[in-house]
Amino acid sequence: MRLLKKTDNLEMSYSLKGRSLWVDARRRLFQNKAAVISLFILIFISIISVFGPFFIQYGFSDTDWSSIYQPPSLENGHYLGTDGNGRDLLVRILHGGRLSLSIGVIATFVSVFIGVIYGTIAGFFGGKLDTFMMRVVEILYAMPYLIFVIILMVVFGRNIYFLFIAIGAVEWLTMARIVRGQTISLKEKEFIETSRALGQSNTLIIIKHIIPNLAGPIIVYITLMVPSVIILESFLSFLGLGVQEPLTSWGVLISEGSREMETAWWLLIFPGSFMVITLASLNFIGDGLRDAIDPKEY
Amino acid sequence: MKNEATNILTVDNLKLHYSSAKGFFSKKEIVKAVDDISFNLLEGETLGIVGESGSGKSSICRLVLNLISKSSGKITWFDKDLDTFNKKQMKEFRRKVQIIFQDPYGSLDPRMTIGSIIKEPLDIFNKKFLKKEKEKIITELMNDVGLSNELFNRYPHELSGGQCQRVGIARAIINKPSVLICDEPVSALDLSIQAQILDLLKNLKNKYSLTLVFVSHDLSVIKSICDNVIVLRSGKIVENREVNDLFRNPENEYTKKLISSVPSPIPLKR
Repeated sequence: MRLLKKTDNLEMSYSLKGRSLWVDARRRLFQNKAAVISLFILIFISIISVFGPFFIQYGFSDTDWSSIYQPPSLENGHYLGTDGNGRDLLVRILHGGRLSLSIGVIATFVSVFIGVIYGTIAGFFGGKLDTFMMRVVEILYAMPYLIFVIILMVVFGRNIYFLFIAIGAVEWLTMARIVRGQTISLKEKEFIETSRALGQSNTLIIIKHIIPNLAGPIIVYITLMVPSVIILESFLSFLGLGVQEPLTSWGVLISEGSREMETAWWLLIFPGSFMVITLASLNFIGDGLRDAIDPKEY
Repeated sequence: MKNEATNILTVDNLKLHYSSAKGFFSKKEIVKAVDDISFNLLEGETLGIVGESGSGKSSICRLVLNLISKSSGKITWFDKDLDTFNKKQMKEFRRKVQIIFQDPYGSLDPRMTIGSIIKEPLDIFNKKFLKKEKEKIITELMNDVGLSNELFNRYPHELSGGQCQRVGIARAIINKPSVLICDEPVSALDLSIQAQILDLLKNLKNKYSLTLVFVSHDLSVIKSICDNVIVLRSGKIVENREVNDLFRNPENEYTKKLISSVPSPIPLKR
């Protein structure tokens, strides 16, 4: 009897609350095994990157001249070996992970921020403004973006915070295009027209109706953009334009490791695996999200 | 009309022309979506606009609401030209003239709950209202349009087409407009629901003393709800008359054809 009442209550609260499209999407996402496993791996890597270095006896810049090029071993505490300066590889990988992941996240948010604002304005207002804004994007697209970043880095100096902005400023172009396209198809929908007929201002229509309805494709694109940003940072670091010693990132570690892979294989394999696993997880999560957020709606 | 009703909205020589080029080098072709249309809207009447698809019915609705800009012509609201309206007057006009669209799902934002959809007009015009007051107004209105209050926190995709259309109606009348334009409000619904929605519109018209503009391609629907009817064909007015008069002795060939094409409930009698 009691149980019956309980289920009744449950049903009531269920019927009163309603399922938003987000709840539906989350349920579909959690049914996707690859995405869920990837999500756990990603969370695990993020946690050990942030907190791991505190629990390791070596600092990321501590040199130990007595143990240079030590292969991985459990006995001396260098579980993943050491590099040419005798620094512990594990702590360097985790420390580099902090940097790579935060560059991935921050630069992505910079580009999403610029791209969403730019794209919705161009798409929503249309006409000549749209034509002008999109030509600007196309011109920037036509410039080889790597050279663009390199020039920026050379002109403004090699500041790590500037690296965030430089990458974000390059990556927003694609975001702006995607958002513009989605906005154009959205603004023809009747609920946007109704909102205008209600007397809602353009700014509020964008904030209340356009952006929430764009959130699906944007989120999917974010998960696919983070890996590309991490790779871009690695490439810039590989070229020597990114992070500077003794700070490190996965890109720097891989770049250094590749020079010494014949003598010290672990310097390439371990940072490489961390990066590959992270990127693969992000891609799986992105795929899962794309399936979960029903593409038919857009 | 028996007694002189006030003229709320006058449309004079309204035109909407698109130019479309078929190929890059070919001549531009002018599409006359709405071509030289004039009519009056009297207070308290239900004006029907009927015509086949592409005859410019929906364009007229959007033009009257100033949602798309006209090519030429004049729209007058209480003796004032719509073109001369400033931002504030335009906002007030939007409050007074509301619209319901054909697609019940398409006119509701899929990311918003029913409650917040109906609340949107209140947020625009009655900012000073407290949250509780707004909720009270919304729940009362939901009862008026025949929606259970349980639906308050539901989402549009959980509702039926008829329910969604009721939500659209509730949102349109929450600020007590004087004119409600219905752009094929029942065409996407099945017959039994159509009848319910038509009844609802009739009741609301009396309760809130609305003036209705009712657009449809279905003459039987028009006959059941309208006082006056405009028959449209390819952007031009074919006839503009009182509804029973029109059905009894249509003058125009096109109108005759339209009326004879209405399926009769008792086919043999036709």
